[in-house]
Amino acid sequence: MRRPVVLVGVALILLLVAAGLLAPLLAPAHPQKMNIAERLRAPSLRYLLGTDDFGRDVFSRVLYGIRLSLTIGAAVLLLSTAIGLPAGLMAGYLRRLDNALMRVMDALMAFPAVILAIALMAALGPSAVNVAVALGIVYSPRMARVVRGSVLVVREFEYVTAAQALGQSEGLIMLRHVLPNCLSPAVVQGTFIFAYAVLGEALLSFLGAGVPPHVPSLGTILSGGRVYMGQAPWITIFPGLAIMMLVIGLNLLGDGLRDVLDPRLVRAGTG
Amino acid sequence: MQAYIARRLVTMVPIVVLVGTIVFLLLHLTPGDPAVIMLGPDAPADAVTQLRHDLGLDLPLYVQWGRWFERVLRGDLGRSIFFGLPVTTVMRQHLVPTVFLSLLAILIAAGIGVPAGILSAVRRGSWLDQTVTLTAFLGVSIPEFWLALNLVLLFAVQLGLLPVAGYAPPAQGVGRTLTYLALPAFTMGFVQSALIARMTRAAMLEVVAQDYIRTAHAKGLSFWQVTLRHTFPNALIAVVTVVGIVFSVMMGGNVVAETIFTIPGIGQLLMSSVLRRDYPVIQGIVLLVATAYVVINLLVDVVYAFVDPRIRY
Amino acid sequence: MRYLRGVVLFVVIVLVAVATRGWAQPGAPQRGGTLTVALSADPPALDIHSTTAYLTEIVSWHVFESLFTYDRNFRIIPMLAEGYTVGAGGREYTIALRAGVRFHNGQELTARDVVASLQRWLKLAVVAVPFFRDDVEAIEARGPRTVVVRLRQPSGVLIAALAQPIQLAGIYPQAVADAAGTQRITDVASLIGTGPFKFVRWQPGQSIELERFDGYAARPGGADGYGGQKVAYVDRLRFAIVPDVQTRINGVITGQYDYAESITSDAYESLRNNPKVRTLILKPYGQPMAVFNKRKGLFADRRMRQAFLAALDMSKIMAGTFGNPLMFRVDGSLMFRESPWYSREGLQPYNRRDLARARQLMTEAGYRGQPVRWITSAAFDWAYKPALIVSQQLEEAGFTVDLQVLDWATVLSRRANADLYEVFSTSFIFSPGIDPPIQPVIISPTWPGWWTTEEKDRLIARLIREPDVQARKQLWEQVQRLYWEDVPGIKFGDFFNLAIARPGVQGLATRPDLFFWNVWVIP
Repeated sequence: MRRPVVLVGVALILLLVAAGLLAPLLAPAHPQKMNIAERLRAPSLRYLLGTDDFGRDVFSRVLYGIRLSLTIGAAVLLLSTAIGLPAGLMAGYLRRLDNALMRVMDALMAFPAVILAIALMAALGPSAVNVAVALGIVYSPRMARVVRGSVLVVREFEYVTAAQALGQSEGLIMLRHVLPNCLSPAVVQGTFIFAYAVLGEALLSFLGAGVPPHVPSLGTILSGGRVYMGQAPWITIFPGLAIMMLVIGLNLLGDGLRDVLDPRLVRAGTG
Repeated sequence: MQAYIARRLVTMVPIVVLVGTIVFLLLHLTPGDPAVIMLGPDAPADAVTQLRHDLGLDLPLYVQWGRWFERVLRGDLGRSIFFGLPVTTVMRQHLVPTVFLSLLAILIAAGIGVPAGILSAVRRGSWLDQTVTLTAFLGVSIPEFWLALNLVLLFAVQLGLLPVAGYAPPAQGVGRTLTYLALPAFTMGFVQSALIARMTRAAMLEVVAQDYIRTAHAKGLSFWQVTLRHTFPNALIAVVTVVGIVFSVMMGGNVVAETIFTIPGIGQLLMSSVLRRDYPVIQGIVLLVATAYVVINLLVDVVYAFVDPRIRY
Repeated sequence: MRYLRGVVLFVVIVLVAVATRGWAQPGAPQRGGTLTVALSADPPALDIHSTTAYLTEIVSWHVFESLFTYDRNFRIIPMLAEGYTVGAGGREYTIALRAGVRFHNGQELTARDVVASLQRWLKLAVVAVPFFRDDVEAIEARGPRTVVVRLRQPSGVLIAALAQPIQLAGIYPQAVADAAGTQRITDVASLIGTGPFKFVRWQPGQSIELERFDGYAARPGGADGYGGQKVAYVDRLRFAIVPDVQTRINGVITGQYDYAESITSDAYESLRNNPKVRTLILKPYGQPMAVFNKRKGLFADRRMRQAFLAALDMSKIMAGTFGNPLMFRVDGSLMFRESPWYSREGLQPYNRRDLARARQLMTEAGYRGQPVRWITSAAFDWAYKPALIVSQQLEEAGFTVDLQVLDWATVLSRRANADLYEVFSTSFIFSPGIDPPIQPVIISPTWPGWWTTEEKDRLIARLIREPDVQARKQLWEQVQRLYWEDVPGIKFGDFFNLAIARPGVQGLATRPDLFFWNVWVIP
């Protein structure tokens, strides 16, 4: 049942997490140390992934970038789930709250992340926290909608109506019967949200509303290297690859988790 | 059902107004003065003060909000600080490209994603499934602007098949519009198709595990009859959800695609207006986008009910 | 044998055809075609009276002209005027207008149009005009082709202000100027001038289209800087708004655009070797700089400012920001080398890195490691990159730097508030203006940074009123010396604007600026 490719995903993620955690030990140079004389050097033994337009070591920056992007991604996932999961659960199950909750979610979804991010940045200064808050709020409706969609179907299942007939409390039914069967799409959506957060941070940095540009995150390295794609492609290739590896790993992991949760769904379906 | 739709439309109004008000507050509390940007940083202080007065920016916040709200009720969205033209005019000019682009992109996204998702689910584990899954992974994990820049490099610069950037309005020939929108629509569509494919596949697999599917097979229906008449319609809810989300995201104006391909759409207008602190335009766009989201979500929910008779409002 | 004669005849015909074609080819201007220019952003307006934006300038000066302008060496020459005389002790300027100049609507230019336009312009102009606006007693038409300006006090800057390209004193028809008052004109049909091109259509966010004005009255003689003879060879001039620099570059390479401005300096290397593109370096262009908050805080103390200067290595800063040495100059003169006001007086403290001296000054001033708040923006390379490089140099000297990278609108808003920063990034983009073109940061005590010392204010006041050019130059040199002693801000160097064009675009000048008259296209 466990496909070997899932293990590849797990391995990728573990590798990147290790790289991020151990960045201070692995990085040969300080990620912000500039050396103008060594601008735009191609990868070599001395600079494993080359240098950027300030002479900073790309390898060190990518390691720290992975670290920061992982942190932001996790924070965004936590925040959006903390808001979106209960919202979707209640909206789907409790008819009386459905309208109100989903309209609030609609309003959040209608809110362009760009404005929120720039406003936060202008008022409080650019920082990773602002990015995480902005993205966490703006992505929560995605989680809520998916959970709600699942709940709408699950609440019509026989064992749920049976539990209702037995007089179990709403809260108990939601937590013990409905929620576990909605986890599968929630998990898949969660891996996407993490991935979107990594890409979203890159986008906000590209637009100048993200992490300060000298702080290495996968997004800032990518956007800083964008104008040099012709002459110094190593600046954009490696963070781009890191993002792709991270997201592929997350998706494979999500798949594997779904497979694990699957049998429970099958069992539950037969009552 | 009608009552439900009516109720939803009624609650739409306070939601849109709420979003508009939040944005209004956020903007006015954010540092940055449109008068300074308009006149240039070297303008003397009294010129700036005069312009602020002419624009009504020196009034207390609640008065400014009241004026804005009252004008919105009359359908007047004000005048762009930057362009000096009515906001409705500016927005109308920028809306056409975004709508075209979004429609084209969603066609590509769903057109690739849904069949891919179905195929990979029913042929689970096969080489087809693995190829689709792998491609979907790649599509979801590529940073969109990186993909856009590389596509431009390949198709426009090296091969010269498509224009680098820009936009031709449909009035000058729909064919020309399509050539300009081809690359950006494909960039947006490809990335979103990956998401749609994955969600379709996940939903299909959940349904396929159900007993009634086994029953349908046992009844003797052909494989594809089962898939298309039983499995897929039950998976449709999740598919519709994600397509709806994707479309509303696109309607918000894809800033990245519009910037790189210089499509004068709503996303690019929003971004420039935020940087220029052109409050009336920003608020106008936010109202428009909020309304579009709410309407699209309503449509998605209505489709839910049609698709799945078990869902009752 | 018969064939041989035929063959020889054939060969001779071919050779003659090739030879004559060759003679007709490069060098001779051709009329016709469309020139498409990729601009980096939307101009905020096309009404040239209403804004100082550079983007408005480079579009609208094809449409509007002023009484005077600058030649290729930045000396003032007449444009719509024939000449002028000064009387009544420097208080009365009598300006004679050229005959036979027509507006785009066919009307002939008269003194009344000039009077109405100048009155409107005086109310709106923010550069140079504030120095003499209150001194203007009257502007009158005396007959159809004479304009008189009467001042309460003599002014050394009136003619220069009338010539400056930024927020041009463009001449509009009287009816248009009177109808608009101080409101910005947004309707392209009303933006009528006397220039070689006229407006056709403006689609904000997309493009601005101009076409040749066949009734244009060109000055005789050759082209000369911003003035002289201007010929519109192309039928149509189209400005496309293309904010992304990579897109501008690709567009010229593929031929979708004929010309693109504001290309990143680092792209110069790869573009120089690309046969599909011609690179043009526009000099002079700008000076990146840092300005101190002298009203409050750490840098109200001159010793701290001098310490900051002593920590800097300008060559590294400029090289790290602009890359290729052809794109910048390490030069401390506040006036550009191409200008007649260039001077090397007082430049000793510029680019003298001396960490020991820096530390000594910091100790004298009592610096205890408080953070230096530097507000800058990633929106512009010339703002962000020097700030980053200098921060590292400052930390090596012992400063603690708090670099705040914000969006540009926030920087503009914060720098007006003395509680919020110690240093901000800005740049000075070259434009001939009051003679000499002094940057606002130097000349104005109310401009952010707030440079005001008794000596400086005195020198500037004398400079503005001094009619003799030589005396003005000496006063200016004293101001420059004062700048590098008092260090109100720090200029890092000179940088140039990189533009690219298709090889088929001919007649382009890189000095003094960017215009498309006297330019033709070979398809």
